[in-house]
Amino acid sequence: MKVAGYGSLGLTNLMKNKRSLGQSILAAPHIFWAVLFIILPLFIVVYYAFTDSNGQFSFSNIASLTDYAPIFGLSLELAIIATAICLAIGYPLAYCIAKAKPKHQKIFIMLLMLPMWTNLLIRTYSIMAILDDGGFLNSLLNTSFHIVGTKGAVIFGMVYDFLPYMVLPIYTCISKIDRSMWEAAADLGCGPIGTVVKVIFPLSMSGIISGVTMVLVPSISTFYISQKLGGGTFELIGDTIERQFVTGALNVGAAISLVMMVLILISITIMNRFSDAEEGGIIV
Amino acid sequence: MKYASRIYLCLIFAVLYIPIVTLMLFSFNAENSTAEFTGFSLRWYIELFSSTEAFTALRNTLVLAVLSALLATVIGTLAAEGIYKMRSKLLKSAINSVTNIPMMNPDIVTGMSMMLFFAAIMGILAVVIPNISYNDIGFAAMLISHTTFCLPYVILSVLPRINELGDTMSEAALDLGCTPAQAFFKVKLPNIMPAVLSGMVMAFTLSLDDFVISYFVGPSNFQTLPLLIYSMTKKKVTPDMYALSTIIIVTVFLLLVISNFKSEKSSAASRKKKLISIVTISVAAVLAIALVISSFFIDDAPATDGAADVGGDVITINVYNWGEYISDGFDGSMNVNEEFEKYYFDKYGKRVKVNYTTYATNEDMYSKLSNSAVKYDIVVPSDYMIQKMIEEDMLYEFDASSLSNFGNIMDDYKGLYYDKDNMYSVPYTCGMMGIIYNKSMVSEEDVREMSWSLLWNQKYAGKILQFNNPRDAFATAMYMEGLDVNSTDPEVWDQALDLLIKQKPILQGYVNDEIFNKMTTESAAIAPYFVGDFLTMADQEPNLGFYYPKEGVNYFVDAMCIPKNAEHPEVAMEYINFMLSEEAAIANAEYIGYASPNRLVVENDEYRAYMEDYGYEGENGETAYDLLYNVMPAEINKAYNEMFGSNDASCYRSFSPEIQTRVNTLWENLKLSDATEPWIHVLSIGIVVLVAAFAIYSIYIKKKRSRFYRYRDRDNKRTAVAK
Repeated sequence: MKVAGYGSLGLTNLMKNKRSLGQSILAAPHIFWAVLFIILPLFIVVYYAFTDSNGQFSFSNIASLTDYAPIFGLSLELAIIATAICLAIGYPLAYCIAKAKPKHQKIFIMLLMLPMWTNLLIRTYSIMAILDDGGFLNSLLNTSFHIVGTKGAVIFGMVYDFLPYMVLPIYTCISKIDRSMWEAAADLGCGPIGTVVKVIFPLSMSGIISGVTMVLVPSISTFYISQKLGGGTFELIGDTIERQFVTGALNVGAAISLVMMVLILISITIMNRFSDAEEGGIIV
Repeated sequence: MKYASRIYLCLIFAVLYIPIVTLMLFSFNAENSTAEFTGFSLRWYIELFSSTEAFTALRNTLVLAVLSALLATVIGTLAAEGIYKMRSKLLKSAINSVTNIPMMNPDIVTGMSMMLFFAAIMGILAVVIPNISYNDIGFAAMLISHTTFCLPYVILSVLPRINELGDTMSEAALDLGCTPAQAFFKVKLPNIMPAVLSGMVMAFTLSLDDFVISYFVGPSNFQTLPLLIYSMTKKKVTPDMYALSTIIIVTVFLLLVISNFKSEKSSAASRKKKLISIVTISVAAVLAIALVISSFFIDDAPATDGAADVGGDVITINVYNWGEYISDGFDGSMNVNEEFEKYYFDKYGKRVKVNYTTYATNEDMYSKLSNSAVKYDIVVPSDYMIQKMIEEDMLYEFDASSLSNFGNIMDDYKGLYYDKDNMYSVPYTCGMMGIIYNKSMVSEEDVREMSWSLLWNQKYAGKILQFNNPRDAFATAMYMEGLDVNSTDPEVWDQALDLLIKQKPILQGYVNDEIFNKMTTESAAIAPYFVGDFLTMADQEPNLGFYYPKEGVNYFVDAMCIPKNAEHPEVAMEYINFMLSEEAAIANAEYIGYASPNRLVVENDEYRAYMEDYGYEGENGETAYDLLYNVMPAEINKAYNEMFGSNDASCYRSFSPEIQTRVNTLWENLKLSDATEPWIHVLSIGIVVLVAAFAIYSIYIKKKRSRFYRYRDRDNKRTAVAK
């Protein structure tokens, strides 16, 4: 750093500053966009959350949220379980892919991404068609498993749909770890398992955190998976918001959205505290 | 170890691909089923290629994805460079956190905020431009929303690359006489290109796959593929959607394989460059192919397109109807909307385009109409909803008897309670609610009781379905107990709620249109539903039976109305008149399977023969025609008389706002009354405890380490000083 500093004279430094100032203008369209289409809409959500249907200021929406506490709880629980399963399945998967030959790695990543080109709704529907009481699996095996309509089915759907989001960032992270790290660990007497637990796992923490975020958030808020695979006997918080939207109870819907957003942003901030990565997360 | 990892990989990928392979398999199914493979056929591919709806949706999706990806890439790349150049750390991190909001936020919250935002924009615009409808800004709204949620991914992809690259290169370029713009475009941009492209591909994919945000923001005249699929999965996905997915996935797969294969051959140095160009080319190729194909098959222009450009502008009318509630040309039936376009052109020499969208419940339609600024020209609400809409001044007043075909409506159906002077509505269909059961799964003596109580029969626990909307679900309990379905007494509703709560544990699920799938695949045995839909199901699954419960049923009339803010009420009236014509009415009646209020239909011999030959035979040998028009047990008669007489009971009436709120609250209580299985609590709490323990442990280790280093540094310093 210091060596580079010697090269530039005061004058060029000044010029550079001017240039930087000029070039940070490039961010202006984005800032304009963000203020108009990110911040302003959120303020409108806040406005709706604190008014009643006549536009009068009111706390009743927020107060009514206590009724939804069990749904919040259930959504959170299912999402946590699904995320944990995704991590448990996804981490070894990412590790196996990262350890494979580069030629094979590409194929595996491609195979992992390919389902994402099929619409999530169609994939979920396809799972339902397979697992339903009179579905493909049961008619093939001539059995009568009751899977669709249980919470297990919803968890399965979440894991199935969001697994790639867990694997990709972890894979990126692991494959970026310097080979010499593995060798150093081995040289210092770590066995293969020890290397993974003591060296690779901590170093891939930022990948894990962004993977967890990318699975947890859509799992908490999903409404399609629970509608199709949950059979409608129970609701997740996403279903509740969707129902408020459909029935036109926008104020309550906005209040639930607001609370959900605040909770999620807080927990993400906390999670990122544990991540050493500078730039939030790594994607693909 | 190596084998273990291989087996593991194979296992996971197998599970990951089972649904996709099954989906591909069923796209070749001979029958209209996604559960039972009956034989190989290309039927669904043919069906798909003749479906303008699917191709319009595909084209819309692609156009939107390309535009929003491009926009996001341009703004995002510039922003990344700008953010990098920023000197203020605070500003930098502030911008970063704002940028990340749409990424961190659940889609549903972003969707909600966007929806409310555009509703507010509409409110402002409406002051300036009095006649604006949401459809006019709908595409812009979609583009803005998609670009907004794609932006963070582009920035996140480009910014690290710019950081990594540093300033040295562009400084060198500047020193060698480049202008800042040249330095950026000639030096920096080529170097960050891989990141820019991967950001763009990411944005493209995200926009392509987005359902939630489009669902909240989407206007009625711009349907994307995910929205189309959603509206289909509400009822039953026909395998043509599977066929479309198969085509998409095979195309993407081939392109990926080709790009991989080619890059193998080239040398390592040029590989990266080539890969990038190949990715770009392949993405462009997919788009080009898709657009060419879609433009081939899209007949976006009205059916009268061939008749040269006489009338100039095309008038678009927005028709908002129930799902599967019009003859749409499927399986050789008449395409009523297209026929209308032709008819209108022949009559007036003006081109009309029918923009047809669907809803699942009256309440959905009502809230869409009253909350968003979407303008429809035709809606088809049920009786009680019409009453409510008239009361709230939401309907356009027109004299139905001025329509030349209004005389085709049977006298019984004129001047019904909700619209005594026929000023707002023209009956479209009518029908009854009843119980559908599977003959091989439900015992005969249980059926013979002909009671609603079958829905509460413990014997069939896990095999019973219930309506997923409060009005109909409460009605099943209220009819059973002989309660008034229009009661204004809150206690009556509480009583019904108790019954529904009692029923909940033995239910397989609350469903709306999903019932088609559940009943025809024999996933469920018993369900309350409407007679017309039952006939559609019986057509596919002959094992299904139907009865009208003796305690009373709901008799309903769905009627065509014109919302007050319709843009083309005259064309809408012409549309209604056309629907009353013999041809269109028969085509609809045959397709929908509900009873028709149209004299020309009921008295038509061919239609009668068609319905009698429908493949349904009741317990006493009655045909589908009888089920619709002749089976009038005392209970039905009662319901019928109530609808057409003066006293109220069996048919729905509009609620007062208090009762409406009450019913909604009770419905919510019902949905909330759920005992979560203990294993879920145990498991999730266990996971949380584990993670917390891990976090505390790692903090502890970190502290210990830093203490160690601190001491070591101090010791080192001391020894250095001592020396």
